[in-house]
Amino acid sequence: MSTKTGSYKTYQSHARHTGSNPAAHIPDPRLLILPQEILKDARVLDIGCNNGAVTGHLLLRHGVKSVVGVDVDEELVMKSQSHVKFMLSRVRPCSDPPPGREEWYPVSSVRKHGPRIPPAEARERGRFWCGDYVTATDPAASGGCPGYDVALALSVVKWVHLARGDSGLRSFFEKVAADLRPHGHFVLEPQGWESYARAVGKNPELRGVFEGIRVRPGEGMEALVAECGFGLVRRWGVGTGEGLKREILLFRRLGDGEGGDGLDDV
Amino acid sequence: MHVDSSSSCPTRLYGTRTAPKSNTIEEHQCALQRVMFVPRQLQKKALRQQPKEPAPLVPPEKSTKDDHIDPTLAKEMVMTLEILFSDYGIESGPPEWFSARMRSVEGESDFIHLSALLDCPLLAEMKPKPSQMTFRKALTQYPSDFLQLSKDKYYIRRRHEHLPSPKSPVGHQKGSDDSTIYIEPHVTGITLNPGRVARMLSQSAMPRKYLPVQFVEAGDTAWAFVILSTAVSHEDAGNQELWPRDWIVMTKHEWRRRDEEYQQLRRRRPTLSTRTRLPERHDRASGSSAQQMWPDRPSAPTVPADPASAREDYQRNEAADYEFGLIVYLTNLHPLTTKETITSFITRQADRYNRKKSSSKAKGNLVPKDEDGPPVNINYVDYQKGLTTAYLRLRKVQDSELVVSALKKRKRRMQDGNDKKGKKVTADSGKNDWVQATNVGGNEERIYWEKVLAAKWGGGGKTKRKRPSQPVTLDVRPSGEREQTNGGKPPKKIKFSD
Repeated sequence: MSTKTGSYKTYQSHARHTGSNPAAHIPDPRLLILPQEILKDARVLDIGCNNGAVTGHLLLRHGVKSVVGVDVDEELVMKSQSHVKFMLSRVRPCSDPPPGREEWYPVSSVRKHGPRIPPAEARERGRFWCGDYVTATDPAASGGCPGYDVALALSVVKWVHLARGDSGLRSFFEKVAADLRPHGHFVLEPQGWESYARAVGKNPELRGVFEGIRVRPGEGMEALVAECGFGLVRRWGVGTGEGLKREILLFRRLGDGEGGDGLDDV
Repeated sequence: MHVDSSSSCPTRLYGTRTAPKSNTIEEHQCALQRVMFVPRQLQKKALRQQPKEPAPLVPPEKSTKDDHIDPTLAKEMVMTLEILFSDYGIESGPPEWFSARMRSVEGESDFIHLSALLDCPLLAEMKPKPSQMTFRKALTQYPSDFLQLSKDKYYIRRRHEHLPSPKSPVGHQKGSDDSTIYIEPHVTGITLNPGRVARMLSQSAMPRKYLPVQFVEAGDTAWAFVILSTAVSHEDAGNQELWPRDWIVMTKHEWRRRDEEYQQLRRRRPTLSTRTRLPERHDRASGSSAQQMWPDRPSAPTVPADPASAREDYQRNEAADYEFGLIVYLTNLHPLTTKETITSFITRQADRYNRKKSSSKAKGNLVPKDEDGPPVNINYVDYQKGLTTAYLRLRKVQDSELVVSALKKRKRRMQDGNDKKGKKVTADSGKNDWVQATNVGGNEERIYWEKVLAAKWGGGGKTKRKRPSQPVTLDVRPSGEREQTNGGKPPKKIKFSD
């Protein structure tokens, strides 16, 4: 499963970029560089949520309203639910929040006594569902556009690309566009082409699709995203900020009849 | 087949089969091999059996190999040893662990051979794994003020000036809370490596009066208690500039305060009803079935749920603290069976059912023949020895439906307690004592889950359940919580083994 979908069990958010597993209280550099105003009170879709580390950070440090996470691996979805309860349990509930209230209660207390947040309450903030984002539908969706404010696809498109080829990647971006509200933001962290080759090396079953890929990460992929109704807002190159090991692209979903040329600030 | 065994012998160059004079064993071997067939393995063996020069009893003063190891690693190794030989390190293990390893070397007592320390659990998480040679090199590279190497550098002991006075153990244990800090390092895992924790603390800006680190008591991979040399003030603990970057540090008193606050907060959360009793479904009479126990109970559907109702199910799940449709009630089990046997039995029935189903579909060209259905995922078997019934908790609703359908179709009876296959019960036998499964739903399911969740929220877990004063609860834990509840165990103490 992991060599097919990238759902490595020991994969912890940006851990693979920094070489060690960061503790739960260490912020994710990919989220820190984003304009925080787009996350404030936003409804966020986290595609390829993995173990829920990004979701936890979004809820605790970036002031989002709620997060819906989706992952193809059921174990990781359960892990995410558990992780969000863990993260929310550490927060000190008070009207006048002191600094460091996000990690007020020690890890030892949550691990020893169990999370204090009831599952239903945790689900209100961070909800997860298991499935292939391209083909499956959110079981809680009532039909129509969910209208997320922000969608994140951090280090996930390679696996969609290798599983479904160029057409699948287009479907992926089209679905993201359909799930976002107009002028909503799409954060994309594409993997490099050499990373594709490594994945194929680990799982030769992917070679057939790999050899048929024409849309390469970079300009080709950006053009495809633009074709699906997004305009590039900003890019952060490797080395920007602290600990950023892959390029991050911020797109904005265009409204009807809106052009997508050039970079514009948020 | 003839094998030219002389190929490896240098005398082959001479092109003669006359045995030359052999002065050494090797030459003698070659001579023998020229005149007779010798299997290759024996040739090698013979060559390996060359006499070795007797090993010197005293190691050479200077090894030809590099005597230096990575300086960071060397520091961590020395600090680990210092922690091991500290008062706390000695007290945390059984007294005989150290005494059994102590030897007199060159007329001086209390020395322990470096190789005798390697099985100490304190060193278990060190990477790369230490050896007596790396310890020796580390101690040579970074001589310790606290530890003394013997002249041959293979034995180690605490320096006599640092030996604890007879009064000290009780005294420092009592006041250790003042000098203990709670830490959450920036990366996971290092708490299990006390030398690394000590090295990182020593390289931080923390006041030197707190050093050396006396002991590291790891809770799990994310947190630990660290005992320092003197009492730590609340101000120093709260000043993040003093400690390694991105670490969470607080005094033990502050930790205790927050922990108590957390427990109070947890107690205030909506509690689940634990007084409601689950209808007594366990029957001690063998052979009874669910239908006999609850004749008025409607039989559960055995076909997959209507996809149109999936949304309703999801909404119900969202409102509850648990997922619906995961519990299956088994009857007609053999009273001497075990949880493992039940798991094997059910898995086998589901696999065979899937295989049969896919092969029948393949006949109609609906699916490829090799495409079996998904395997059943059993999260927990809630069974007590002596009973003929059990609850299964499955991972997905589809799993519970599969179990119910498979058992209904296959009609297998458990012949004994270890029967993992079961025997087919034929229709003409007139018996219905095959292992049957029914979905648990409605109020009964709610009560079951309440008991499970109450056990979990009540701090259940293996360590807790072992206490005799603890009321007996359902021995279950949802898989989604496993990661969290595993942490319910007390902080890891160093366990020494002889």
